[in-house]
Amino acid sequence: MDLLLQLTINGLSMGSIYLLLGISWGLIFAVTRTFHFAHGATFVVAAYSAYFFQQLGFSLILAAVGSVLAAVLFGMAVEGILYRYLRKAFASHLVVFVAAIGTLITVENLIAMGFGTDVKTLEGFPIKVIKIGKVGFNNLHVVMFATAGILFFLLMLYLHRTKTGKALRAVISNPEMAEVIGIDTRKYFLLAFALGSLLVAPAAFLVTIERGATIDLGHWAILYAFMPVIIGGIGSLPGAALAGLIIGLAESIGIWKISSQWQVGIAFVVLVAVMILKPTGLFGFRVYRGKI
Amino acid sequence: MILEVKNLVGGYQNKRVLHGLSFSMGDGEVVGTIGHNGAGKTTLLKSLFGLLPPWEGQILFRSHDITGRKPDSNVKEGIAYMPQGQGLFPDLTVMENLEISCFGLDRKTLKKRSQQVFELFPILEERKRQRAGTLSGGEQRMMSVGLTLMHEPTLMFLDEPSLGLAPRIVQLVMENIIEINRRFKNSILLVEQNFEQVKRVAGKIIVIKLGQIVFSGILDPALDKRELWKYF
Repeated sequence: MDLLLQLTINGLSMGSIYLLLGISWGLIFAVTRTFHFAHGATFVVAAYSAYFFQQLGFSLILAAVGSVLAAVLFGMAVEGILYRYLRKAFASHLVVFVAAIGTLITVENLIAMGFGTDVKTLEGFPIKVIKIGKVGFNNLHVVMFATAGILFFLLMLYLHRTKTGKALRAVISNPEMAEVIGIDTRKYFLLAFALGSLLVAPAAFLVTIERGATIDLGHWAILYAFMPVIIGGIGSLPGAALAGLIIGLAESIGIWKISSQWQVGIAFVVLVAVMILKPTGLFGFRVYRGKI
Repeated sequence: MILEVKNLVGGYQNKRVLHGLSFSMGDGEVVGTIGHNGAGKTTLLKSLFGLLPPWEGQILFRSHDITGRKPDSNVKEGIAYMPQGQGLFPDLTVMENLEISCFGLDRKTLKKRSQQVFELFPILEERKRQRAGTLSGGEQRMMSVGLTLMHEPTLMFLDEPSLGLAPRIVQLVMENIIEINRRFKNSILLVEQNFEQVKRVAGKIIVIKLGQIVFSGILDPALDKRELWKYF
């Protein structure tokens, strides 16, 4: 029982990271219908920016702020320069997808040239172990869970209570109609990229504290960004959030009986199982139509 | 003249759909546009509203050149467009739909204008907390027409408001269009497949065939559908 509780706590903390990856990528995809593979690059940019700012002498908090800013600027640049140009040129989804993969690989290589390929870690987080009975976890796990929960709550509040949030939901619901009533969808595409990048930066920051940053982190991040979206149902952010936690739990509890080297495979088993049982995802009613 | 269209050419990417259309509309006039599927009726409305950039020609709104102007600017100037099919946000509630279509306007104006819409379509007030996608087909069409009214347009482009509706609901929607024209004195360019309905609503008619106007003029109520067949 204690072991199960321990694995659940471990799963929820990693699931919180998947939650942030899922809702950030899911928001961008729901608004823009762009398969933003370069979201992995945003993740790497955020992780290495935090490291860079700390090397410059900034505190851990300021490094976090710098990392968020760098991620937002990068995400907006990818939309404003690359995707907008491709949309104007009537590029197909495949072309956009390939361009996004190209961006991810280019960014990873440029970062490797600048920073080297060894693991970069962030110093200064005072890790404290908390023990409740035989179950132990640390304060970083609490921060991960709290950060994901608060950011998800704030995002939902923003989307449902503010004018621009409602406009974003309108663009998700019917992009052509949004233009018809006078919403400049290009601005909202940019906003979606800014918000999505803002949400992924804390995940990158926390992962860098926990296990350090490597340049191939982008590929890992993009896999765990779209898996919750597909499992939760395309367009459903609560679905993506719940799916992120489910993947975290499945991976963690899975290693109870299976060797940890197969952990990633467990996430894909969950993905395939959901696709077979409910092809539209847990909360997906329609493909491509948003239900936030 | 509220709208003058001169030699309009347009289409999608490399496909030319409109081949030099010219016509005009007066204040408070309802003009019906009919034609076969693929004649270019929807392309015409999209080009006039700015959803498709025209290739050639000129569009004048109250003598101002609005050729190629973006939809958001057109909405602010009092031009509205109701697209074919689901011209609403199905995942937002009725009230959120109205709020969002009044984007950029203050709360007082929103209240006043949504009240105007509820006066025209009382059923929408009863359903204001319901998701628009769960409304019946007729109610959804009323919602779409209601959304176009939120900016108090002086010129409305309506694309097949009767599409897919039961005959009784079509009658109701058309009566609403007549009422809107009577109450707000706005000009309406109505695209329809249903000639009998066009006859009820419009004072003028334009017949489009393969992207060209083959007939335009005053709509005689006695005009029989078969008399128009010669243009097809």
